[in-house]
Amino acid sequence: MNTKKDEELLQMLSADLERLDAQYDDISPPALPGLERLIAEEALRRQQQSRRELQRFLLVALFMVSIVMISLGFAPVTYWILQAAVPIAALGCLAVVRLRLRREDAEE
Amino acid sequence: MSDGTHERIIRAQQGDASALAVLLQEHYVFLYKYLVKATMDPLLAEELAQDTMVRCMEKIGTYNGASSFSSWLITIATRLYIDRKRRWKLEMKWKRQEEGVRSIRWRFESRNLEWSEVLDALSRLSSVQRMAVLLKHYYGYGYEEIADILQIPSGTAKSRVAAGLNQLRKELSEDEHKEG
Repeated sequence: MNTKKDEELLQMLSADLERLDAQYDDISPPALPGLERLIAEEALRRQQQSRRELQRFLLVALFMVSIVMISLGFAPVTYWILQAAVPIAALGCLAVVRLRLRREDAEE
Repeated sequence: MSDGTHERIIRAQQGDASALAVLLQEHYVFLYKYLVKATMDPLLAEELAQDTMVRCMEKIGTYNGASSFSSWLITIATRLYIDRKRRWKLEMKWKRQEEGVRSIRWRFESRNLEWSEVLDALSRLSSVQRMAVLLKHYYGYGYEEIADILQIPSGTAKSRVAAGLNQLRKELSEDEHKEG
């Protein structure tokens, strides 16, 4: 790699980028009152959004709890079977994985 | 970082809107100039500067001082730019890029300044290479920092800088041949 040419290129690049920067020296930053208003509006928007999200979460949670309560009221046997089936299935999977690992260790 | 900036950051994190406003105002020009060079599109730079300020308002509480405040802003702005580019379609991207470069060129010409071949070549680089070259050779960040800003491995940051410089060199020598 030609280091001298690289250095020249980097110097040219920096000089031109500085020239480019200088073209935008006259831009003015937004006025403070405008920024303060934007910050206040943004804070309000975020507050409203988080309130909406909480409401949505509570509605979904309420819906799910009511389904559980209804199924418990109308079909308690099915409900308890389902409640038991999930942990039993999880324990079964765990046992199978453990057995496999033990068998692999024994083969080695 | 100056004591004044540090103090304003702390006050802004405690919910002081005026301190946050001053902080954003102080860094606006720096941020905008970075975005002009990164995007080569002054209009897009303005939009992204505004989006960055809004994101900064949301995230000011998470700023931990590990890097300077301006580096933190550059990181946010760069990620917003990358996200926006992902959403653009290819055709739109080229059209927008052309318009952006024309706008910068016009600014030079309207002030009777010569438009530079290096800047022209820089504007033709892919944005990922341009940002890597800019962060390394203009802002002086290390490869690890660039990797963090661009959310890529540091090896990729290094190869993007090298590829960008190679491409610049190639474009400039092609221009020389054309002129010769």
